[in-house]
Amino acid sequence: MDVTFMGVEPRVHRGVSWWRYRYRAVLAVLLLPSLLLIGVFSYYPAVRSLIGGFYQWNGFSAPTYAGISQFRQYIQAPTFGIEARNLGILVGGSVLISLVSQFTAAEIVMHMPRRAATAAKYVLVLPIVLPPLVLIEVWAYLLQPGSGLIDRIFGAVGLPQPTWFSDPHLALVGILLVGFPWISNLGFLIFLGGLQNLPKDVLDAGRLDGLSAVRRVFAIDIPLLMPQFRIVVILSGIFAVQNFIPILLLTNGGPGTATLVPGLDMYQSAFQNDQYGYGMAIGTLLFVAMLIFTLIVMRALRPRTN
Amino acid sequence: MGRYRWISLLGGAVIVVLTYFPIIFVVSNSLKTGRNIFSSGVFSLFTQFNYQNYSTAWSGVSRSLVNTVIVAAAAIVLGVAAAALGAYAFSQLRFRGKELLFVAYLALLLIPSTLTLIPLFLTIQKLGFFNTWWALVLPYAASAQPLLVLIFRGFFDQIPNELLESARTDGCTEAQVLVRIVAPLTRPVLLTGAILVTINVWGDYLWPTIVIQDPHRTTISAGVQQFVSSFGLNVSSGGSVFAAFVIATVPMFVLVGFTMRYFVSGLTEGATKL
Repeated sequence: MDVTFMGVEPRVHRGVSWWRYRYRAVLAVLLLPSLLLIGVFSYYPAVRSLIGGFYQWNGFSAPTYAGISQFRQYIQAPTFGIEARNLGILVGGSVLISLVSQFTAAEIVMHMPRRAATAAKYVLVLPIVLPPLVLIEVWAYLLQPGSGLIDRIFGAVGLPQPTWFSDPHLALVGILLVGFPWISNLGFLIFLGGLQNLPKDVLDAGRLDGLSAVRRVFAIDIPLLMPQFRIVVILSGIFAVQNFIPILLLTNGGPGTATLVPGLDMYQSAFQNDQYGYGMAIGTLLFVAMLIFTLIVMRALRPRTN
Repeated sequence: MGRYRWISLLGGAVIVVLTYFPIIFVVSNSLKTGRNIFSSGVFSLFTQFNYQNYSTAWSGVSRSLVNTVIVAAAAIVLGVAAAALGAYAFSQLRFRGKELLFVAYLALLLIPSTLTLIPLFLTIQKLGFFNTWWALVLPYAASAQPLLVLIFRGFFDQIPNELLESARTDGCTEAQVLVRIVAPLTRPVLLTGAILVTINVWGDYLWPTIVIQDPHRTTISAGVQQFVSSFGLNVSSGGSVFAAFVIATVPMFVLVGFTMRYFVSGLTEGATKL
């Protein structure tokens, strides 16, 4: 052990305890601010949410213990099946479009000459900072029935002009379209980083075998990028499970219940109907669903070790 | 090889155009009078230059823009400082249960905001922070902790130990080591943290609409939405709505445009370490 710590010479008779005391004080000063923040504003709310689902509470009178009745009430509600289906479509859809668009964009940029690739990477990353609200409102404008840009383009090439958010069959598609072409995202950077760090000997072997660029994508890039695919599936899936803000702003769950999802139901239960306990029960179920999703993806897309 | 190069350049041009066309439309519409946004055809770009829209939009959202800067600055000071100190302890000090505690930070990345939304609101209410900036600053600073501690610890771990040890044996106290040696080295990674916090504060719409009642105290995303709902896109001043979009976006493009390297490294480092 060092004789000095933090410039303090330990006194002989009470050396060890003095040293420990200083050490603990420094440790506390360093760790406490951060621990207080996550304790009060992250862990406490999370735990309280897990407990709160078992209590019925309107925010004013005293909470009453309700057991699992609120969970059952949610699952037996006529909207549960619709919400689960909508969430499945949105999560599946956005994971798929994230993977395809972001991986394709990364492949394109990777094949560019180096300076163009760097410029393209930065240009494509910059719109990540576009405030989501602005993006959502802009797509509300682009998808205006009849007069919006997308319907004008559809009309110009002779396609039917859908009414998007007021059509129960297309409202979910409209929600998924927000943010097209979905490239400006963390996933694009993850794929690009993976592609630019592929082992050189494998690429050289592929080149010697005369692999075309398309064959290379399927024979080398995709198998070697499994860890990246896994993380992008998880990140985009988790994001899609939670993100009800486009729905809140564009359709508020409608028309009817065509775009209702659990997150929005939770939000409306708590902040519009004062059913705080019921909202927390939905939040807990959503959390469990998300954990299951993450575990399944972790197992299914496990990198194969040779 | 050459053929792929041209195909990739062409493909690159296509995806850049697809990514930027909504932004081009916003800028073009922000200079049009309301009727022309739809009637003169959505394809006519930059045919009108009505700068009046910007002064209308500015008077509508400038207050929330200033609020956002204040809230972001406070969240940065608090969140980045707390995360930096904590990460320093994780990296340089030895204590019991350290790795377990670190896992507790990482686990937070898996807790969805939907789970904590309602109780966090109740907590804020109970602490008496409802409708104050503390209701924004503290949760933003807290939600930044897991990612920032992860990034900062990775950075501190790379500082060669000999450097710190030699300073200590030269008689530096731990505080002096932190201020004189670690802090200057750390500036770029702290900047990364500050950028990530700013983007979060800037882009968050839902939370301010829940905890801030006074429209004059809200931040930019919620402020812009208030402006949108007070005007609508179809009325004669519709162009000013698009001008508000530009005003809300340009500061972020400028900030991140100039600090792109730090931004990208912050994003990817967090993701690859997960």
